Amino acid sequence: MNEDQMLKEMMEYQSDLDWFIANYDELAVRHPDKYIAILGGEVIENNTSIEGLEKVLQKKYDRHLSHVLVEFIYKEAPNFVL
Amino acid sequence: MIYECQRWNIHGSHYIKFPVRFIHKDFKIDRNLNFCLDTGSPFLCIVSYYQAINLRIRYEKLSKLKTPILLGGTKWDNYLLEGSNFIMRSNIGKLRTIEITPISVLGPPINRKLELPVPGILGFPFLSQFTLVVEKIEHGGKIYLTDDKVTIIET
Repeated sequence: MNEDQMLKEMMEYQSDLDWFIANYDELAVRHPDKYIAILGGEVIENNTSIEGLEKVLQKKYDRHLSHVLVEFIYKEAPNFVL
Repeated sequence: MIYECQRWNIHGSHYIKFPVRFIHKDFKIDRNLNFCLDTGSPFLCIVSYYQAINLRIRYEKLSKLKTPILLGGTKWDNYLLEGSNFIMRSNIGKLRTIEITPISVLGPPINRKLELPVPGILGFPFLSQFTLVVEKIEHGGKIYLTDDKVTIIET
């Protein structure tokens, strides 16, 4: 992949990450305890299992896999302590 | 260069997310990914279980350490992934490639049903190469990593 294309994809990914963070509260209501995939500022897929989500993404979004944002939506405050 | 981070406020807790391009030639990985920054973590980088599934990492090709990782109240098998690179995009669109090795990859949780997944983490050995700059404390203030020399001016 050339540098321009990579830069473009990285900017799109960052933009989706911004969107995810800005809309987290609403996403937590709509998709609690689910994995979601975001592309172009919208949720394109959701699933209760990461394996299930990955299968759908591979099948339907193969061309965009490098910059699809995948996140888990926590219904309650998570614990990330080491 | 200056690299922008994202503040993530989740149910009243605050985290910092940092996007990178994750490259591993042997595993044919070339994906955008993001990690939470944790200055208290002794690990260079932890790829979470759900990220590993997302990246299609083949556990059978990794070496498994005897000591599991305790993270988020759950014990996870600890696999080592050698030879990865991150590409970081600066705020003016310049790219920097940085070698990240070894990476700890979490396997499935041990002795416990997976309740809540954990995100990937970049720890102290990674962050010590940078200075974390907080623009302002208030909500909406930007957070950056920089590898430039930073001069602190006392006022």
